[in-house]
Parts: sequence; C-alpha cells; structure tokens
Amino acid sequence: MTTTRTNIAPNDVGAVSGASRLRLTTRLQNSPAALRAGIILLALLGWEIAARLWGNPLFMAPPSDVAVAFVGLVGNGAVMLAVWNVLVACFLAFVLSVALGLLIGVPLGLNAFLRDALYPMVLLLYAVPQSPFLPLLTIAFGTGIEPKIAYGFTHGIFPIIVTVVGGVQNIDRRLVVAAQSMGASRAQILRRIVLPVLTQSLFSGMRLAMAAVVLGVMLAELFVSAGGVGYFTKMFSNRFEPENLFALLVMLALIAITLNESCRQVERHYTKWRENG
Amino acid sequence: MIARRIAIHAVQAGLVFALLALWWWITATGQVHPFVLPPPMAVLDRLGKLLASGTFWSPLSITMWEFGVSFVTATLLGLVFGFLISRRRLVVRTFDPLLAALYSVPMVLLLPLFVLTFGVGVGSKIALGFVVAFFPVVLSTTTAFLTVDASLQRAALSMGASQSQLFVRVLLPASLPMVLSGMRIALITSLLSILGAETIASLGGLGHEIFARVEYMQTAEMYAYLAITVIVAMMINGLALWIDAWGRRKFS
Amino acid sequence: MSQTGFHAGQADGPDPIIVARDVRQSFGVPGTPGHVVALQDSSLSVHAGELVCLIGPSGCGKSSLLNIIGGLARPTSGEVLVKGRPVNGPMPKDIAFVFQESTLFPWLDVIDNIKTGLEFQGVDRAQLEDRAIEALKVVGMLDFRNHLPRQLSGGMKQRVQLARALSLDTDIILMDEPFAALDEQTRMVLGEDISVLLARSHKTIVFVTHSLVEAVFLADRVATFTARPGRIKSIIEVDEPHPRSREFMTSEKLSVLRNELYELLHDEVRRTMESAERPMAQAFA
Repeated sequence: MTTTRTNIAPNDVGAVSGASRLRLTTRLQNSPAALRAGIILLALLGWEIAARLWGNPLFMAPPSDVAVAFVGLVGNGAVMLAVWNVLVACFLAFVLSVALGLLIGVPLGLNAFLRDALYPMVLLLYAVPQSPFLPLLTIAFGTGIEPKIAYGFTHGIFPIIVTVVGGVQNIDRRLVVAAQSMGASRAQILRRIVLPVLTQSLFSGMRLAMAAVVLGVMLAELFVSAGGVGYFTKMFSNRFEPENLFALLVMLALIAITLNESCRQVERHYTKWRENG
Repeated sequence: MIARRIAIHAVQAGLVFALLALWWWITATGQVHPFVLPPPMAVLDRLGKLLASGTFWSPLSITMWEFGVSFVTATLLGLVFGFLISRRRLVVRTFDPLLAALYSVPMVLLLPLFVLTFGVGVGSKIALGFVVAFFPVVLSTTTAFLTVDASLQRAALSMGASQSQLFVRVLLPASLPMVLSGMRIALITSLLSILGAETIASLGGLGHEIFARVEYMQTAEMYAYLAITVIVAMMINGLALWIDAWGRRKFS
Repeated sequence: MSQTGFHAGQADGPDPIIVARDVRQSFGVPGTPGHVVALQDSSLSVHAGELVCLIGPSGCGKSSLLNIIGGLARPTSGEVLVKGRPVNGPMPKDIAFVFQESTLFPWLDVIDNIKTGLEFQGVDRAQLEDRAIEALKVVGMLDFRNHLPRQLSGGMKQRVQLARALSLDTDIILMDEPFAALDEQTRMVLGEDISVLLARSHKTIVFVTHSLVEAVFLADRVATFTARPGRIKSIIEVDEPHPRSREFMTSEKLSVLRNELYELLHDEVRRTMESAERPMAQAFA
C-alpha cells in the first residue's frame, strides 16, 4: 500500500508583463471626488449658459446672478433675521422633541405593560400624515415663530420615541442576566447597561429627529407667509426676482445640510463601538 | 394572560374615550373659541354631509391626478436611472454621495421655484411630487441592482444565460423587494409633499380645500376635509405597505 | 454498476479532458499597494472520469483556479483547455457548477429552479419537465419539487443544486466547497452519494474542499496548495475504486492518506494564520 505523490517545484515567478504606465482614465477612475467636482462645475456652467441664452429672466436666474443676490441677502437685515429665526426654530423644536421624546420613550421602553398598551397608539399617530394639518397651525399658534416650533416638534418627537423604545428593547438580555449573576442591583443595571445603550439609540434617533424637525420647520415657514422666510419667498415670487428667491432657498438648503450633517457626525462619533453600526 | 390583554385594551379604549370626552368638554364649556376647535358633533355633521353630497370628489381627483402623474413618471425615470447608474462602479461612487447630500435637503424648498415657473396650478405640484419621489426610487434601485447576490449571477452565467436572460430572469426578480421598498418611501413622501404644497399655494386639491375652509371661516368643514384627507392618505400608505411586504415575501 | 468498481485514470482517451497550464491570477498593478497574487503559476491535468480534489488553506487560490477552469474568471496569464478547446468564458454545455452558497433562485420552487437552468443552457421547451424530474429523482428530491428554497434545509438545498448541475448533462462538474455549510454527518452521506454518482455516470469532477477526510474519501487525486500566493504543491493519488464504501471511510488506508495530507498542509495553514493580510475575496469579471 504505497502512496503516490508528485511534488511540484515552484516556477520562477517573473514580473508581470504589460505596460505599467497609468493612463488618464485609470487616474480618473481612482478619484471619484475629482469626477464629482468636475460634474458639478459642468452643471453650473451649463446652467449659466442656458439661463443667459434661453432663460426667461422672470423665472430663471443664472448662477452668477444668484451668487450676487446671495451676498446681497446676507447684507439684508430683515432677511437674515428671518433666516436666523429658522435656526432658532429648528433648535428649539429639536430640544423639545428630545426632551419630551425621552420623557415618553424611556418609560415606554422600560415598562412592558405601558409599551403594549400605549406604543401602538404612538405608532398610529406617527403614521398620520402631518402636511394636511398646516392650516391648523395658524389657527392654533398664530403667525410668529410658535407655529414653526410646534410643527418641527410634532415631526421630530416621533423618531426619538421610536428609537428610544427600540433601543431599550434591544438590550441584550444576556448582558442583564450576566450582571445579575454577578450581584448587580437594579440601579446598577440601569446605570451601567441601560443608560449606555439608551444613549446609543438616542444619538441615532437625534439624527432622524433633526431631519424631521428641519422638514417640519421649513414646511411651516413656507406656509406662514405673513412673516419669516415665507414672507420673503412670497415677496420675491411676486416681484419675479428669481435670483433672490433662489439665493434664499440655497441659504435654507445649506442650513438643512449643515444641521443634518452635524447630527450625523455626532452619531458616528458616539456609536463607534457598535459592531454593526 | 387574558387579564393582561383585557387591561391593555381597556387602557387604550379609555385613552381614546378620554380624549373624545375632553374634546367635547372643551367645546361645550367654551374653553376654546368654536372657530379654533368646533364641537365633535358639528364636525361629524359636516363630514356626513360632505360624504353624502360627494363634493369631496373634485378636490380628491385633483390631488390624485397630481400624485399619479408625478409618481408614475418619477418611478419610471427613477428605475431607468437607478439601473443605469448601478452598471458602472465608477458612476455609483461618483453620484451616490451627491444624491445622498441632496437627499438631506427637504425638497419642499423647491416649491417656491416651481410655483414661480409653473404657476399655482397642478404643474407646480406635479413638479414637486416628481422631484420628491425621484430620489428614493433612484437610490433604492441603484442599491437593489448593485446588491443582487453575485453568486446568483455567477450561477446563471455558468449555465449559459444570455445578457437579456440574466436581466429579466435574475436581476429583476432579485432586486424587486428593494425597489418596491424605495417606491413605497417615494410614494408616501411624494403624496405628503403634494398635500402640503396644496395648502401652501394651490387652486385645487384636498390640501387647498383645507386651507380654503380656514379662509372662509368654515372650521368644522376644514376638520371634515382633514379627516377625509388623512383617511385617504393612510389607505394609500397601507396599500403601499402591503405591496412592499408582498414583494419581500415572494422574491426574497 | 460493475462489480470491480470504476477506476479513474482509465481515461476514455489519451488526452486529458481538462488541461490548465501555468495559470496565474493577480490583481492590481505590480509594485502598487493594491497588488495581490491570488494564484501563482499552476498546472493541472484532469482525465475524463476522474475526481480531482483541490485542497489548501484559505486564500490559496483553489477557488480561483476552479473559476478559471470553468470560464467564470480570466487568468492573468496561462491558459486552460477543456476538451482541447481554450476556455474563454462559461461553457454551459460542457461544464456545470455547484457552489458553496445556495444559488437557487429564491422566488422559484425546486423544479422551476432546475427548469430555468436548462432554459439558460438552451434546452428545448418540450424536454424541460422530463429532464428536471429525472435529475430530481437521482438526488432523491422529487417529492420536494414544489417547495421553495427557504423551506429546505441546507443539505436539501445542496442536493437540489447538484440535481440542477446533473440535469445540464455536462461531462464536467466543478464543485466549490459544496458541503462546507453542512454538518459533518450530512457531508459524509452526501459524499457517498457523489461517489456512487461518479461510478455510474463517469463524469469528470473537480472538487474544492477544506476537509481532509472528504478529499481522501472522494478523490482519485488530491492536489494540495501552498499558502497565499498559492500554487499546487503536491498531488497525491488515492488508488481505490468507485463507488467508495463506508468501509473505506473507516479503513487504515484512508487514515494514512489523511495523515499525509495533514503533513503537507499543516505548515501552509500555519503560515496563512500568521500572515497579517487577510485573504482577498474572489472577484469576477
């Protein structure tokens, strides 16, 4: 019973043949960021040319005019006050959402009976479309900054409640059991296990809540045309000043992007230890 | 644990009842001006009259028309774009961050521009509905086609599938659940944006009716229209959820 | 089934049915950090009716070689000839695959899965039903023909995949760790089935595995790989007729061969574990 074995000597591994010059296309392929910048530039250029050549100045403004108008708006005290109020409204609505969201979400998360009874109703409320309620805002809150805070709040509270309840429910029971087997008291379990996990979910919820708050505040602003940003959008529309309108919207868009992005960064920073994010 | 279930439903029923009672009490004792919050009976009365007379069909059909046109076009274009983008990794890596950044901006901000360009008629609502629906469809379609299990494609190719067979028999069914999910999100955000836009600047549609009723000081009627709008929206959302769940059941 | 069993190596013709020559696969540009050699120059000949096993540590290139042989990947250099013709892409009429993960289409039931494979190959509509049923009978899954893949256990899913490969009626079947996700007992039973299949059909099989016992039990020849960048280190012959029996599984002959494989592979596995880089995933054109 002999075994037959053949050994194979390693071949001489030479250098791979072929050209090693990096061509432009390969370089481009390695840098989507450059490609992105290029596309944006091309788009801006195309917009500029199209607007100047064929664009109706009543509806369309080239980016150069928009840029100039942007600078003009920054110098306009009344407009900047309205924009500042948007930030204030977002901030206040956000704080309210988080505070009340925690107040409702934590007990619901911890107490199974409350959760089974009340959480379905919360979810039902969450599913109700809020945009038809806009006209109700002015009836209830007037035309100052209050309706915007209120509308931002009603949008932002739900993501907080949902993520907090979900987070508490997802605490690995085994961790709790392990802690109990080591003699941990209820207070210790709350502080050492529940709180960190809760904070985790809270940060995720905050990112979602901020996006919702921004949406709510913007909607309310556009609706309430008696004051605030909505007043100016209406004015620029009626005066057929697309460059001002566009500049204002760009300003608001930048606010939205900045607020959302900061929340995303905060969330990323504080959820680093999660294995699957 | 029957007792517990009874207790749960008791609490829920109790809460609903308490809210209704509060509503009735507030309006009956004049805590709140009937303009702000009419008594429940008044609202129910108006709702009944509205449903019976069928006057709600006209604004409903306007809203549905705006929604239908924008959603269908956004979906068709979104599917095509999403698929095309998914074919080249380079395109994906270039456009994906762009689209994601744009996605974080509430598209309602474009409404004033659309109103400026298209006026206060259905055009501006359709334009807004289109833009709002387009992004989720493109994003989810791109991801759906990108993440079709590579081993399924390999297996099909090893058995001799042609490119068209691969697309129709493997890529399409495999990506369907995610595509339907994206469409569901597109559907609900688009409908809500259109309704919101109708309250802000419109000549017709359900949102406009709600706004107009306030203008004419007919608050009870406003609440009636609000109720109808909310019910219609939730029905459509429910249908979308059901289709989404069906897709996931059947194809994954 | 003949009494004396079927010996591989009694080639049907003088030329091997599969010839791989100096096949190499690397990724990225040499000299740059992204450069990885998945498979060093490897050569292998497989005769008709043989079952050859490829075995080696993770990332050694055995799956790469299999995919290159089957036309699912292109080598950086070297060539593969199947039945004397160079391999440029999938050859559905000559080569069928069985993969480790389930590649059954989740939205189709068992029999539709097999019929779809036949359609891809180009089989006439009229024959689809019969050939599918025949293949399911061979693997004993006919009763489950209207089940969906998610209703089947791992072992059953692999049997259906095998049926699909068999239904295509190719001379060659390439299997990439088909039983890796299954428990050991199921593996052993399915291994016996493969051996019976081989004896009856005289198909050529190339089989990638991690399991030493599985390799010796199934193969006529076992090719062992070095650690990455991998190449074929040695080829061991297993002189035992098919169909192989349970007695062979517990025989001393098998033990000796298994120990020899262990000696060959032990250092390579160590080297793989200690290397800092993680093995690169297979990429497909």
